[in-house]
Parts: sequence; structure tokens; C-alpha cells
Amino acid sequence: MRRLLIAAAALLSISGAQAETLWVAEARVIAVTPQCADTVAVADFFRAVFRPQGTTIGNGANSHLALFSQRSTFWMRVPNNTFRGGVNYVGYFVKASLSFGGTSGAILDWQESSAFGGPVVSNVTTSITNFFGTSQCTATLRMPFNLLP
Amino acid sequence: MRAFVFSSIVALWSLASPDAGLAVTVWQGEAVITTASGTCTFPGDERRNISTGTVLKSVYRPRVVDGNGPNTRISFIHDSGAMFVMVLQDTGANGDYAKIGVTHSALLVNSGLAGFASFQQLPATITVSTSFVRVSGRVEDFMFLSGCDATFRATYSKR
Repeated sequence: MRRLLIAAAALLSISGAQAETLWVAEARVIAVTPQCADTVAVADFFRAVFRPQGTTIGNGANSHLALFSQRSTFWMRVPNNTFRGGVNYVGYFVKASLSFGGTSGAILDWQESSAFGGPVVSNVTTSITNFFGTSQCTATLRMPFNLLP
Repeated sequence: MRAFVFSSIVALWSLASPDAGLAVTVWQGEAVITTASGTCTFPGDERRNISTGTVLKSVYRPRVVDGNGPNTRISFIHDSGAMFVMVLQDTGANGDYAKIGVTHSALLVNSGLAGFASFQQLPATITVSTSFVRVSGRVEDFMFLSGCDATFRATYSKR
């Protein structure tokens, strides 16, 4: 019995990594405001990992979007909501200098080709203020999201 | 309680971080995992796996060099899918580190402690004119993988 319980716990532990639904994309920057000059530029790109809200898909009530460059990361959470135009986010950044800190901003626009949850692919274009924690830096990105198996 | 106190210290300290006004000096390179044990691999989710031979982009920010502040920091980027930053809380070969970063699941971690051991930096004393640095050590909960115990060897050049 003990072995069975241990095996069940191990299976749960393994499936714990699967009990969530994630999409991945290359996020490509297509427009920036002048205040982004020291932060991000057009044609820069990131690995984007999107975790939209949804208890039925294992993601809980909040939506998360994480952007990774080769040596930094910018993370956003929209509490109790989806990413969409006109919502605020709370964020956190780790810069390439290993300085880190919290930030917040707004999703000015979020256009998606399909609602997340059904199709395996959804193309997103979005504009995000205070990008990477830089005041008044608004970046517009294209992200062709692909569901992780 | 210990983790809470610690995360508070980290949060307050980051607000008062000296690099708000001073230049920081970092070294950038690649880290190679030399051993991995415990829960470091995940069948069906290859992008999380850490095993012997895994290579990660790494940035090293040694303490009290230029405006780097009082704590050594090391980052590891795993296949562009997670960023793991260790803020060392001890200056010896063994001790604790504060966890900062974003997991493979797109979740933020900015509190909590875990242990490191056998930490070695060569040369032992680094200045802003040091060109090359080598660092090795053993890390608990590597890349936020609970129960993953990994040793690494990293080589850096000044950025």
C-alpha cells in the first residue's frame, strides 16, 4: 500500500508540471516610443510564455505573460482577468545587470486572432506601457502563440 | 517566517540598491551543469529538464565590485524559458541564497531561500579590470525546480 501511495504521489508530482496550460511565442517588437531608447528597440525579440487565466485549464484566476531575452526577463500578471486592451498589469523585471524590481503598467491594446483555450495557435498584437519597468516606454509586439503540449 | 523576513529584506534592499545611481560591473558567459540529482527531469516536458551537460547563459555580478552592492548575484537563463537569479546571502563557500526570477511556468518568484555549497570563484579577488572569471558550486532547487540539486561550472568574460 505504501509503495502504491508513493507511486501515486510521484505521478501527481510529475503531472503537476502538466497541470497548467501554456503558450509560447517569439515576441517581436514592431514599435516603441522614444522613451524606450535605453530599453528596447524595434526588431528586438523575446521568448514569450503566456499563461492565460482559467481554472479548467489549470492556470487559476490570474493571467501571466513572461518575456525572456537572452539575459533578462520581464514578467506581467493581470489579476483576475485576461490580457486585453484597457487593463492594468503588475510586473517585475530582472535586467541584464541583475538589477530587479517591481513595476506596473497598462495593456493599451490586445488583438488576438483566436480566443485562448480552444485553438492551438493564436496571433497576438499588443501594446504595453512601462515596458521592462521603464517609465513612459510603450512597446508594441507581435506574438504568434503556439500551445505547448 | 524566515523566508518572509528574508524576502522583506531583499525587497527593501532592492529599493535601496546602490545601482540606482552607480554603475554596476558584470561578467557574462555560459554555465555547464556537471551533475544533477533529485527532481531535475520531467518526462513529457523536455524544456524544464536539467541534466549533466545542460548549458545555460549566465551573468555574474560579484559583490563589492564597482556599484555592485553587498551581495553576489548570479543569473541562469534556461533555453530562454526561465530565468533564475541567486542573490547570495553568505560570502563563504556554503550558505543560503535568495530566489529571484521567473519559472518555466511563467510565474514570478521573489521570495524564499535555498542553499548553496562548494562555491568557488577564480580569481578569488575580482576588480573592474578582471577579464575572465570562473565560478563553480552546488545549488539546491536549481532553476526553481524543487528537489533539483545541481552542480555547475561557469566561465565568464567581462561585459
